[in-house]
Amino acid sequence: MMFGNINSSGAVIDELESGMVSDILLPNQTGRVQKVAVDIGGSLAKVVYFTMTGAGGRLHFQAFETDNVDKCIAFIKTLLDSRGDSSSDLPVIVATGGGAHRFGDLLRSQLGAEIRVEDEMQSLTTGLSFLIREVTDEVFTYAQDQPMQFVNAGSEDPFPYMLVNIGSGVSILKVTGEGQYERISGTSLGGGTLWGLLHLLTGVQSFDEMLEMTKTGDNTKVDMMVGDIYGTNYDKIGLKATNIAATMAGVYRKSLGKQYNEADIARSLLYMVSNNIGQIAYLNAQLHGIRRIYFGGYFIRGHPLTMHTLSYAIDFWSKGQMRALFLRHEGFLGATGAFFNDEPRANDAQRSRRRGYPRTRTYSFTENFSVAQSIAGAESVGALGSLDRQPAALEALPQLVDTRRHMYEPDTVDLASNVEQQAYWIQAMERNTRGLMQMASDGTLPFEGNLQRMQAFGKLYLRHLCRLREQPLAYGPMSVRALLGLREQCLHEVGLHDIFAEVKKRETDAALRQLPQALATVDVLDQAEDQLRLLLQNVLAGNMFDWGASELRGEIADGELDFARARDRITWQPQFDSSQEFVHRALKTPYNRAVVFVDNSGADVCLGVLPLVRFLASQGTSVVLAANSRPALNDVTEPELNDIVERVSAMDKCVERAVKQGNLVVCGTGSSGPCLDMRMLDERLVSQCADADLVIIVGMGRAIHSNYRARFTCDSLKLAVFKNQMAADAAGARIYDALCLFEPGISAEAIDQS
Amino acid sequence: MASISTQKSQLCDVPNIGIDIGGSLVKMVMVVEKGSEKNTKQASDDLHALEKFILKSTCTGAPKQEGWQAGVINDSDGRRSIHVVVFPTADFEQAMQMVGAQSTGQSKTGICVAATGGGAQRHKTEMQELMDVSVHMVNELQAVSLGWQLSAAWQNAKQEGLALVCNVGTGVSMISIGPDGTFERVGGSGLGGATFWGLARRLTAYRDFNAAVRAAHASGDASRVDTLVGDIYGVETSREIGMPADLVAGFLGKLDSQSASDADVVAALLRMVTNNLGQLAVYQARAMGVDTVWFTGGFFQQRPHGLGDAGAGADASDDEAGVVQQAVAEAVAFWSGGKVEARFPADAPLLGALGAVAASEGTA
Repeated sequence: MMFGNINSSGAVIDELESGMVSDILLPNQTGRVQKVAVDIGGSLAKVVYFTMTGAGGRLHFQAFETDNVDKCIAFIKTLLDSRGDSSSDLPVIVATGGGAHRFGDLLRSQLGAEIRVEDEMQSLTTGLSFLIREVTDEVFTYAQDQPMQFVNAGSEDPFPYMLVNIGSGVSILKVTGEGQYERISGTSLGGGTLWGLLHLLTGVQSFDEMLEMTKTGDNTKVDMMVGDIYGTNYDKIGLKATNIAATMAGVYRKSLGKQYNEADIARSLLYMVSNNIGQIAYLNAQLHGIRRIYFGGYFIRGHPLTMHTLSYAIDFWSKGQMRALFLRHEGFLGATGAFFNDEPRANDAQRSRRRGYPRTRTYSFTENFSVAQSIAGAESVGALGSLDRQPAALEALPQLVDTRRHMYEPDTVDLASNVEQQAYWIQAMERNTRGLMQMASDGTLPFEGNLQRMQAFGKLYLRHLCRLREQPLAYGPMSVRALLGLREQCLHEVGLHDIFAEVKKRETDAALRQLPQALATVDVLDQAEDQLRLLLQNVLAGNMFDWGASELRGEIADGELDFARARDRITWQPQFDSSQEFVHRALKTPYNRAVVFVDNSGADVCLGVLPLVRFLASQGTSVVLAANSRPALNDVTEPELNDIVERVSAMDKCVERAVKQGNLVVCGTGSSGPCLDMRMLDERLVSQCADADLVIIVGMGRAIHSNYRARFTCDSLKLAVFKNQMAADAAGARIYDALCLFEPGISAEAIDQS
Repeated sequence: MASISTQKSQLCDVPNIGIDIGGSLVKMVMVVEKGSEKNTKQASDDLHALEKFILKSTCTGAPKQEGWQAGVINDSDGRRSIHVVVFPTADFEQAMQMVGAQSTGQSKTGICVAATGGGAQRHKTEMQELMDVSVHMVNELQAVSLGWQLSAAWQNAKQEGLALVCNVGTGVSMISIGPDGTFERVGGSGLGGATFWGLARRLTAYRDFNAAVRAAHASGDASRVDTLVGDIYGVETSREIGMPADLVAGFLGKLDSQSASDADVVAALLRMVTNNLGQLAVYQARAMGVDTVWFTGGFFQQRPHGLGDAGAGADASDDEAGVVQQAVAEAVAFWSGGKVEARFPADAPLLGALGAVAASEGTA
């Protein structure tokens, strides 16, 4: 198996095999296998399969060498067998690629299942359209001096595009819409040619080894360079002395006296094939008036030199007008497409309904890196995670400003380019993880589940962090959001679904006992203005109770931090405080509907957020409380918040009335991380938010690490405390400064014109 | 339109001698106006050493070294004759010394020659010193462009609009030529004639280009080396899915096969390089909106037609040229669906040298 789970999951698998933690079975992989797609190419057999888990599910990717197709078939058989006898429905095997025909009979006889063969080109385009639609940060550009720049397509129509699929041979497809494609060209001078030549010229067997060789090779030792002929640049026609005049032409010109080795030949031929494909791709794009050129297929395999050469060719021939685009799941286009070919597609009516956001989703996936697979060898760019299908479709908040001129970028700091912050955050996560494990083992953190799982989690996550330190872009863009999200994924992966469940329950109970007193303190004030100001301060005080903040966690765990003390700790600076503007605006004309993205359970939501919501409701504002759909740290979840609201209704008439009248509803965000991507919210939440004229975002994860620069077409209020030194430094704040940022709504058109 | 008038020859600065120093061969031409011939013979004492060398080499029955070729071509309107000497680039140094030896010290000095080709810049000083000439450097692509126009004019072919010339020597240059003689390199590739030959030398025992091409044509079977659609899908399934089983899926995909002979490998390399050339040329032609691609350069034809053969290795050059030309013509027909035509100008190997003379004329 060439892909193998070479990294992270090894932590779990090693222990499984040694019998240490035999009860840890990757829970998400035990789901029922629904469907298997296999793409058998000339060199590799790629398997994509889907497992159901409750309302969601997971799409897995696996690859085998075609020479070992038996292994691939055995693997599929294991998948089918895992269904047990209980399943009455016949498994569906979808096959594509040249080998689908060649190995059709073998598949049928070995698997005892019906094999449905899907057209190869159709599958490729369906796969690509699916991936660019469903996977954030799937697409990137590459150059040696600017490795892996992720392309945010925003709300742009992804069509038309061109797909250059490089396998043994090369196919060039023009795709004008979902399921609409045409093979416009191709060449047989592709990966197979390179492998054949390199095998014969260097004796090396595997493609990975060949790619390895290209790294140390120097093509100028076998190629005839422009400089070899002219002695200098050929400026009149724009050729540099370092440009290749003729591939491999240096080897028989004795006069050039070139000494070369096999690695030099390998690099020369890699350049030759990539350059030539790039040129043919450019010429086709030019003839068909297409500017987006995706390169896919197993030839690329994240190999930096290959991608650099293709990018260079496109840039050179198009004089900078076109860019070569690459995909993280490049090797799996065909298998993914075969899998989805017969799935219902969003129809045109749906598409026009969501005008301005043409990336229609029939259902939505998020990428999970906890069991990441490397795309190829150690030097390759990127890894790919499995895709978790969310129980609901994910959509953008309608009020989010995300236009070509003002593109929404969820993350505040790009840790890939900011080396200092990157080192800090990786180290902070490592410290934090060790702290968590310590707290779990000494009982400071009472949690359900056994310690071995906790250790397995620690090992898994620390291994990911180790890899990210070496390859910051291995899992796409690196941000605090990504690091925090990965931690949650790792916890879930080892079966720890909610380690803070008990803590949350305990703190919520304690907070609710204090609630009547807290409400009375506000109600006693005469002026609405004073009430609202105190309520805002309380939200920030509540937000101090955050187990994710290493600086405070000790005090919280020891019960040393009380609400009043937390409020006193917070400092206010004019540049982060526009509470006056908000109070003024909120009291002038009550808002129609507010959507509040909440943060922690306990004091945060009970003593901070709910009293503010109660005030807004009393003003006639209907409120949507948006909470994480699934657990992350001590963040309150949708079910927990429902329970809390119910208990508060029993204590307070005002809240009870709001709930009864449907003016206070709880909705899941669709997310399970401490930060938030406003483009990926549960469609049910989105439908509740249609007429919201106020967005409130609470907490450091959602308002500082992410969404700090997000703008909305309606008014917005960001409420958080800088509880981390690095985050504070980055924003020019001091630790424990309050963020109470009110921003009036701005129209997308106004932003584009500004 | 480029033209050549050579009446002044040795008496003035304008060169009537062009030298194209390519990667493999040096092409030397001297253009002589009809009528001035007698004079040159009579005044042979006045001739420059280089002119004497060329005349001597091209006269009937002159002894020739191995790999050398020389002769006189009359242009179609009969107004001028072109003396041609072609020899391996490896012999250039020797040739220059032979010229130097011709020098009697009495001849007029300071004639000018037009030089082009990749080696021109490198050999400039040597030429000046050894042959006692002044060298006028001509941009290689300009030389090819003008040479092509001359050739077209001599064949009374009228150029309308842009013309696409695909010059394949060591590497590939695609040149767009306007009717006014302007030219632009619109494309190119490092995957050219030398790539074919470099790979062939690494992968087979052939050491002679012509012999390799001849063998490929006579007994080579590329399908023993290329991965065909039928190899992937099987012959029957290929038929079912409507793809020809003998279509190439991956060039050289079966290169490590034990059953492939050297001739098979050369045939496959030739198919790969010519197919790719044809494909690039067709796309370029479409982008320019032309339906003809003119192929020039040493890859198609190393030596001019109709010259006195010299030594071994040059005897069957027409055949090899035919094999390579045919392969490219087929590739162009394939990729264009028959809508673009590949053409090969007569005198193709001499276009650079002739164009250099024409270019110098224009600048004098």
